[in-house]
Formats: sequence, structure tokens, C-alpha cells
Amino acid sequence: MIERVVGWLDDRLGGAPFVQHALRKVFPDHWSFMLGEINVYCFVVLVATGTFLALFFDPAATKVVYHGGYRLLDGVVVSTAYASALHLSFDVNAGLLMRQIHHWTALIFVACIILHMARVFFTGAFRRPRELTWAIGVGLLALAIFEGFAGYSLPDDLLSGIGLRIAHAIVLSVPVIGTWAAFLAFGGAFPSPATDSRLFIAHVFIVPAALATLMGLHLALVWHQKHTQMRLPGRTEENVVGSPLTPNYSLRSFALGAGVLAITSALGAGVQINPIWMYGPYEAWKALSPAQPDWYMGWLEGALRIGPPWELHLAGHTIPPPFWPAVLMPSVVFLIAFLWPWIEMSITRDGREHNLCDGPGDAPARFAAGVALLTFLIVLTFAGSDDVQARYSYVSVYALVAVYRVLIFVLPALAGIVAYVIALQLRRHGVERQAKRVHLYRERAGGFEEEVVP
Amino acid sequence: MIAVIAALLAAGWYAWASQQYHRRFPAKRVLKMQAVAYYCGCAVLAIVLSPSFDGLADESFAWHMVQHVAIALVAAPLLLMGAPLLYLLGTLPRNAARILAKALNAQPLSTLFSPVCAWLCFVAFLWISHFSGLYNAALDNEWIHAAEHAAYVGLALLFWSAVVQTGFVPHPLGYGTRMLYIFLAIPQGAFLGVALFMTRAPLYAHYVAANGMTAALADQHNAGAVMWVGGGLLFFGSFMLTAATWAARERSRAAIGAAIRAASLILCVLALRAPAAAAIALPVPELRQPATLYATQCASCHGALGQGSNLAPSLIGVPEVYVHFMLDTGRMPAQVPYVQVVHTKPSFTPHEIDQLTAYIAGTLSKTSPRGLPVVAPGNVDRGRELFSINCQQCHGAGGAGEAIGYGYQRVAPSLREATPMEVAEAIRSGPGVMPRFGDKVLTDRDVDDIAQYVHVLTTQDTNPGGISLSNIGAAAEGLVAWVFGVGFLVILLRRLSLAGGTLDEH
Repeated sequence: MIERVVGWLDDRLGGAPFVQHALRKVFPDHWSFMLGEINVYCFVVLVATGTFLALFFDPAATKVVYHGGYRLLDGVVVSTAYASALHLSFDVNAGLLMRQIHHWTALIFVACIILHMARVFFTGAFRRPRELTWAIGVGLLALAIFEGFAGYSLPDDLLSGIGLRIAHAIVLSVPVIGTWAAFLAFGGAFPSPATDSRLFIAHVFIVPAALATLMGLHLALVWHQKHTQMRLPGRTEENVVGSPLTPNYSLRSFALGAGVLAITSALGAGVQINPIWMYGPYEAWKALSPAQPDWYMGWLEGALRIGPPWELHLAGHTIPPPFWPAVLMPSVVFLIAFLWPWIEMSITRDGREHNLCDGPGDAPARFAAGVALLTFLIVLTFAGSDDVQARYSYVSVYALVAVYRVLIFVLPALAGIVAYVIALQLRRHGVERQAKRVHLYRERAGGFEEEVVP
Repeated sequence: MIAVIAALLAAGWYAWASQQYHRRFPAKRVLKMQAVAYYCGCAVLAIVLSPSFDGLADESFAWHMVQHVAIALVAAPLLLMGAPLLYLLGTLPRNAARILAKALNAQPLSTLFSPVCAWLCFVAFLWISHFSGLYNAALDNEWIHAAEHAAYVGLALLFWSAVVQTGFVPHPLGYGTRMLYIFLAIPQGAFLGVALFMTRAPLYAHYVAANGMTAALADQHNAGAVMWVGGGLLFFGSFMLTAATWAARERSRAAIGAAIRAASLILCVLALRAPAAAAIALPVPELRQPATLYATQCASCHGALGQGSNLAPSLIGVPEVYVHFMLDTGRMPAQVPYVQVVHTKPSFTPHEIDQLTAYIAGTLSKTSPRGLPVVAPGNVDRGRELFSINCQQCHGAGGAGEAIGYGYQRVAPSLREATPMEVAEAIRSGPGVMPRFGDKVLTDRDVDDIAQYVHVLTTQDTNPGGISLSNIGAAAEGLVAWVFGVGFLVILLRRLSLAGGTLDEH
């Protein structure tokens, strides 16, 4: 029966040679090559749980009196968005579970994108012919971060309202166009009733569609250009060594998918995340603390906290303090990330194709630059939760700000130098090890001849 | 009185039995020292169990402890030195003696007399009698008291029978084992003493009724010291005596050397411990009156007249509610100046806190007595709204607390441990950098509502999503996502990649 159906399909589509070829496609075995795959599975989980949530969530800003499962807010006038978020958390079967799985998966999603990116960066896998794949990947990261921010801003709770307020201030701080841009993006003066439904459309339709499209493009490029692979015996620039898609690799991949589902479900079922009922509805005159964004926004939060209080007045326009840490800094970081393949090529003048991965020793300067940039972002992320650190260490929060203002310059420089020195050591070690690889040939007379393998 | 008569009867019996024994076995030598020790034991029992001594013990726990220590650690070994079991067996009719000796050597009794069992029984009774209702019951009931003392005598005899091995011995033990046996008893006695010495509330209602709260606690500390130091020295003395007997018996230099070394080791331990005990024991104030408490616990920083010093602010003009809040939450007395004080176990009993508050407010700060807030059950919904406007900016929506402020007042504390009364007091007094909310800002009803909401927030399940992560929020969530989520996936990846084979293409 199956044979007949497949045969019928092949008759019409003629895809048999391609599928046959595809099923034997080879994937490298090193574990770090599967980091990107985690993101595909995370995306699937996000779409599945997100669809469930969208069935019950209503982003309208109209005020209603809340009546429902969370007794402490019973009878309070709140927005429809907040009421429906509470409703799906307390009165919809498995609603809270789905919300928590969705949120935990989002945190892991962005984390694994960055790990995947770090693997590609440090192995030089972005070099020709894969520059486009890298650039699309950077775009995917930016979209994922925005998608996450839009998502946790939807419920219209106090914490998300404060986050939106900060985002609004950041948009305002853009010189010349800031005010207009903020009006345009938020649909009027803050807080505007239009904001939430715009975020909703972006979060459930526009950004996911863009993510899916770019992800498809990203994967198609990987498929077409084939994988890079670690520099190991038997691997050359012309081949790929690994496991075939069926049966080996697909089983492994399914196991990974099951693992993603398992850990996100376990966290969603067992660990509370973003208790919006405790934060209460957003009202502009209220505040709460500790107030952190989700971790992937932490670097921007940290930059705002330790950023310089510079305010410039140029030609009748004001450049307010948030511009430097929250507009300029992330723009520069993303621009560097986006353009890195071309930046590196212009420095090394190396335009050849590369299908074998570099180790740290193969490109010490790249390794050092990557470590320094990552350290910079990590320090900023930690600076974003300085109040929590101050609360539990009883160190003054002002002292911590001062410390981070020093660390943001010292640590990246230090980490970069240390990474460079280590990479140089590894290169020397690698050269010595390679020099020792020899082939032994037996001569006709019975003696042995030694040949060093390059 | 019964006990005294019993002690005298025991002495009389011994006099008769030793003569009988002497007559029956003229060849056996009877040491005069043995008889003297036995009579001394009887005398000690007669004295400490006499009605006048009982009266002392009824008034004071410390004297009661002296009584117990004398029974268990002085009278019992002295009695055993007289080899009473030997004389009992020697004076009984032959058949009865044989049956008794057989019983002592047979299963149940021989197990009871085995050193491990004897040691455990005695030690267990020591602890149980002090830290259970038994002690209080004995204090209030004559008969339970008598039974308790009888048990002390019996179990102490059982305990020491492994050490004092003269006459008929059910379980012969070597000297080294006996020394170990005593040595192991030293720390548990010391622990018992220390446990009593460190108590922060009186254990026995009987003494509280007799002497009042503060005196009962001081008395209890003295009792602990008696057990700690007195008991320790007696155990040590018996240890030394065993060592000396061993040395005398063996007449060997090696044994003497070993005994002396062991003894000096223990002496060192005791020497280090006894002065420490004495040093701690001395400053326990006899009277915990508010003025004395202030002078000993507060005045060193706040000044004798509450005028303040460079270590702590002046108390003049500080409202009563503030004083009570600081004492009731254990924030005062502070251990170190210029460090933020945090919620901890109060240093004083509720009664003492009330007295001390009244003393400081009335005599030193001289504020108009407005009294402490009275918290009534409030409306949770109003409380939530008021909390979200006035409190959660600093204390957090989940009451987890947050970093704020300058100087050493760095943290708005967690509300998780705060009682409604403490919440109300904090609102009305404004401790540290927290603003004071007077009744023009928040009415008494508002305060009730907020206290009620904090109570519900911190005691009922407001974390239906699972582990609350202390309600820290996104910072903790990010950490969990990285450590557990990403950590799990990376470990999984590494395990998966081990499975694959390899294959070439092109």
C-alpha cells in the first residue's frame, strides 16, 4: 500500500532521486553542531504552546472588572488583556502550564541561539561561502530578542508596563526622529491603548512569520552548502564525515527534540515564571522591584543602569542619556556581529572557501575578539541585575554600579588578552603535535622508513 | 524522709552483711577502705535526699542539679566501691545465692549489665529526664519525684558497675576499656550542661512559677554550669582514679606512661573548657530588670541616658512603637554598629521586651505615650491596592525585598517573616530609611488592610506555578534557564553525539 502511494507520488512529482539522496545526507558528529537544531525544536514548542495561548488571550485595552481564579484581584478594574492573561492562567485547563512552558522555552531558545552563534563564530564557520547564513543568523537573533520582548510585554501587568515604558523612552531618545518614531510605534502618547494590540500582531504573526521564513532560508543554505566539520583525521575541505540522515542522524535528532520538550515541560510544570498576578495590572503611577527584563534583554538593562549621564544639545536637538547605552551601543554591537565575515575578510585578505573549522589556535585574534565581546555582553547582563545582587550581598547598590562601570572596560580587555595568549599556546601545541604525526613504510629489504605527515 | 531512712537502712545492712561475710569466709580479706567508701556513699545520699536539701532543690534548679550530680556521680560509685553485690551474695542462703548469681550471668541481666547497654541506659535517662515533661511532672508530684530519684540511683549504679569492679563483677572489663567508657561519658555530660546553659527560655514551668521568668532563666543557666563544670570534673576524677589504679596494679612503666598521657590529654581539654564555662557563667545577670537590661544590652552604644554615641543614634524622642519594633524583630540589640540590622530571633522574652520598651519610652525618650498599634483583621483587596501604591516599590510585589538607599541601610527587607503586628509597627514607625506613615497618610484601617494583605501574600499559596524562586523574578528565571535548561540540553547533546558512526560523502 505504502509502495503504491509513494509510487503514485513519484510518478507525479518525480522526487525519488532527490529524496533518496536527501535521506543519505551526511551530518557531522560533533555535539556542538546540534546546538542550532535545539532552536528548531524550541521554535516548534513555542509555536505549539503559543497557538494554545492565542486561543484565550485578548490584547484589547478596554477596561473590565476582573472576576476569576485569582481571588486577591477579584473586583479590580483591569485591561481586557490583563484579565484574559489571568483567565488563561487560572481558569483555563492547563493554561498556566502552557504559559510557563512557552516562557521557559523562550528563555532557552535565545540562549541556544547565542551558543550556536558562538560555536559558528569561534570555529570560523561563517567564512566564505557561508557569510549569508551568518548574516541571516544574526537577523534571527535580533528577531528572537524582539519577539521575546513583545511576548512578555503582552499581559499588561505592572512589570511588562514598566518594560514598555523604558522601551518608549529609548525610542524617544533617538535624535531628531525619536518623538515621531515613538508616536508611530506606540500609537500615540504613552500609555496608548493601541500598543498592546500592535504588539500582539507583531508577536503572533509578523515576527513568527519572519522567523520561520528566515529559519527556512538559513536551513536551505546549510543544506545546499553542506556542513563545516572539525579538523580531524580523514576530514578535508572536499568531504563531509559523519552520520547519514537515516537512520542514524534522524533518530539522534528526534531524541534531541524529545529532550527539548522534556526540559521545557519540566520547568513549565515545576518552576514558576513571571507571576503576573502578583505584579498586578499596569498603572503608570505604580512601580515594583526587583524589576528585571528577561535575561536576553539584561545587557540593555545593564547598559542603561551603568551608562553615562551624558546629555548633548546639538543644533536645537537634544540627545538624552538613554541614547548612548540603549540605542548606540546595541546598534554598534549588532552591526559588528552582522558584518563580521566581511570585517574579518578585509583584515585577513583571505577570500578562499573554508569547509574545515578553525580551532582557537588557528585564529588567535578572532578568538580574542570574540571572547572580549562576549565578556562585554556578560558584564552588561550582570550589571542589569545589580539590585538583586545588592539585595542578597548587602553591598550598596551604588557601589556595585561603580564596580560595573570599571569592570565593563577592564574585564573584556583582560579576557581578550588572556584568550589571545591561550590561543597562541594552543597554536604552538598544535604545530608540535602535527609535526609528530608520521607514516611508517616498510622497505623491501625489511627496514622501516619514516615520513612526516603535514 | 523515706530516702534518708532507706540510706540509713542500707548502711545498717552493709554493717551486718560484712560481719556475716567475714564470719562465713574468714580467709577472705575485707578492705577497710571499701567499707568507708560505702558509708560515705550512704551519707551523701542521706544528705542530698534529706528534706531540707529537697526544699532547696524545689526552689532552685541549680541546687536540684547539684542533688542529681551528687546522686549519680558521687554516691553511686562510692556505694559500688563497697562491693555490696559480693556481700549480698555472700550472706544469702546458698541456693538463693546460686540462683541470683546464675541470673546475673544469664541472658537478660547480663545484657543489661553489659557496658554498652549500661552506658546507653544511663545517658538516655539523663537527657530524657531533663528535656521531656518528666522533669516538670516530677517537680509537681512527690511520688514521681521519688521514682525519678530511685531511677537515678539505680541507673547510676548500673552505669558505674562497669567502672568500679570490686567484689562480684557481672561483666569484667579491662582498665583501658573502662577509661574509654568514662571518657565517652564526658562530652555528653558537657553537652547536656551546655544545652541548658545556652537556653533562651526557661524549660520548667515549676521554677517560673516559683521565681519568675528572668530569675528562672538565670537559675537554669547556673544549673547548666553545674552539670558542665561539676559533672565534667567528677567524670575526669573517676577517669584519673581508674588510670591510677591501673598503674598501681600493673606496676609497669608502659601502663603508667599510657595512663598519664591519656590523663593529661583529657586534662588539657578540661583545662581549656572549664575557664570558658566560668567566664560565660559569670556575667549572667541575677536580675533581668528593664533598667539592668538597658544598662547591660543597650547603654554601651545608645548611652546611659539614651543620649546616643558615635556608635548609635540618640533614643530621645524615639516613639514607643519604634523601640518595640526593633526589639520584637530581634534587630536590637545590634551585634555590630554601622551594619544593617536584620530580622532575627529576639534577644528577650516578650515580657522583657514590653518592660524594656516601656522603660526606654517612658524614662529615656520621653515621648508622649501613644501606645502600640492594635491590628485588626483587614480587607485583603483594599490591602493589595494600598500595598501596590505604597510598599511594593521597595519590598517587591512578592515581598522578597530589594536593594535601596544610602549608607548602611541598604536593603528593604523581605516581608516573608513579618507578622501583621510587625508590619503595622514598621508602617507607623518608619525604621531605617523607610518613610514613616502617619495616620493622615494611612488610617488605622488602611494599616489593618495592608497587614492583612502581607499576611495572605506570605502565608497562603500565591505561587501556583511551582517553585517560587524566592519571587526574585527574571534574574533568577534567567539563571535557572541557563543552568538547568541549557545545561541539561548540552549534556544531552554530548551524550547523543557519542552514539553515531561515521560515513564519507563525495
